[in-house]
Amino acid sequence: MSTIPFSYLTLKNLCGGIIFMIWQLHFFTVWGMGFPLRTSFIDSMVNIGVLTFATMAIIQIFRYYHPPAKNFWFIIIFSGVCSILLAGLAKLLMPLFNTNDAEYTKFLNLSTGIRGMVYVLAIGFIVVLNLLWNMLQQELEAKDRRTETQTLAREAELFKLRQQLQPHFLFNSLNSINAMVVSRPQEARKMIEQLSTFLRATINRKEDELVPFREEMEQIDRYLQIEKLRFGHRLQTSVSIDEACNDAVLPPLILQPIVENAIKFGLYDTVGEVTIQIETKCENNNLAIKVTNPFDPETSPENKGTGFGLSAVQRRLYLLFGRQDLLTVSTGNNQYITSINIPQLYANRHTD
Amino acid sequence: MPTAILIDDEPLACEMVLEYLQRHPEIEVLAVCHDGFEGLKAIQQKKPDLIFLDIQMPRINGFEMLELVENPPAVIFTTAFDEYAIKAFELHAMDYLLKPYSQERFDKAINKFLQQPASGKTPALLETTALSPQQADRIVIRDNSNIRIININDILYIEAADDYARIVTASGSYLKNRTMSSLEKQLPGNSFVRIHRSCIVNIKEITKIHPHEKESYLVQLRNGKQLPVSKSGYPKLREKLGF
Repeated sequence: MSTIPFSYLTLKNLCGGIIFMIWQLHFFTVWGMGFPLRTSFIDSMVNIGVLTFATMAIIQIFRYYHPPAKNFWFIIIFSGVCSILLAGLAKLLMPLFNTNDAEYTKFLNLSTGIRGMVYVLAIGFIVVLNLLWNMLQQELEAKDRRTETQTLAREAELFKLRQQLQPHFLFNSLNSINAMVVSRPQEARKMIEQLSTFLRATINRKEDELVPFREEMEQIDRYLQIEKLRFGHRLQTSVSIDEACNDAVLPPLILQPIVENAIKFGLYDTVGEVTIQIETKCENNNLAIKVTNPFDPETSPENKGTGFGLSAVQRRLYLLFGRQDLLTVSTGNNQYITSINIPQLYANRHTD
Repeated sequence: MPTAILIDDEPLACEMVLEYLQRHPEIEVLAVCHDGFEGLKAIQQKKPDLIFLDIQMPRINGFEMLELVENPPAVIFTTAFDEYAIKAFELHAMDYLLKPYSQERFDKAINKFLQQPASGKTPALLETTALSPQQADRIVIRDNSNIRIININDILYIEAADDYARIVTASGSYLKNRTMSSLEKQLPGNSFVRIHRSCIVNIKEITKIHPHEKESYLVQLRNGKQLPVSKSGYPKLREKLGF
């Protein structure tokens, strides 16, 4: 948390100090000119009363109203006009409190200009002080906010990296390679190549750019190849691609967690052979992807819902397209179906 | 001659263990299994001295499988990545191999087993691992020859039965060889309360609480069952239900 050289209380005390000094100056000047003590005192008090009232109003106003820099001069001029009006007000009020002898009235009329100038100086100074203090305060708050936002963004970035690298997947793949090195070096080499290509493509993705559908499907294919090597004949896949989707685009890595989820639940919820189906369809400027995996309704509690991986997908789709209905899950016939829709109208504008 | 069973759902991972085991001809491999059910059956039938056990496996994970084994043999866990599990292993397991591991590391684990075949640490390990997040929402139970996976939301109440806990659901009651306190720890505190030394109840099932003798109460469940509330259980119940 950043701090300002002096506190809000100091700011108020400073304004009070200025007013007190002006009061002293005023009082001793009038008294020094030979007016009676009482007259001098009332004269200075009425003026300072008006000034104090104005200062309090300024402090309160700038506490809640933070003028933009371009209005700065306007505000200073405005305060100048206000000071002159206040001087007039003080002059009008004076006869209500003070003596009305001719000499004093004459003095009052003569000194109006000087009084106004003192007001302009005092109020101008107080206004500038308050403005600067508030600007500094705002600037520091904004800085704190920026730092906080940056920290959050960095944490999110780290989390994303960890997610992308999927330690479990990575270590298991390395273990599979380790198992093949001696007995089947050619296959081991092939898996190293696939794993490297997959990781490279994962790391190079930019979160906020939409990528061609073809590219994303190639990435999914690499992933499926590695998983198939790991799980052997237990894992079967069937991918059908609609020709109409050739020009489609989608957010990078949006499909990956869905396929991962399907494999995880398909393989860990059932025993025996598992087929993961991926179907794509493009019509009416919409890319629809359906991922189907078998599951056991008895052991998969309904409350698992969309799971953590999928809620992140839903969140991303919402941030990108502002819609909550783009990810849906359904079950039936011992199949778990995850569907996502990617609107292409919005997307095409970005690729043109 | 010591005997062993391999349990891992990835064929290549099993191949790896078999290859490393070639240096240890004194260990006889009785079976290679690819999921917890198969593994459980093989352990019951062949009674090995040692099992190599993966954690993440189809249907029931390695810990859940182990819970169902009576007098479990020595266990060497083989796993890729599980921060929580690693903590538990360090405390209680005979040994654990983090995939991928080297022949040297594997040999070390085997030697540890050969020097001290019975670790006797498994029960303690299970008490710890039952709290691992991935199995927090279910309990695996052996019901005669069947294995049942019970969603914890379906539990009405649990009562102590000698060394076992009797888990009662709408569809029946099942015995589980876990202590009441370890079950109490696993169940989410916002829906279950231990109202008595020998009883944990699902709050959603309670329909009525009425005084019984002096300073003790009874809760009535939706299915009509009445359960005793102890002196120390009553304030807990009050707090959870907010009355």
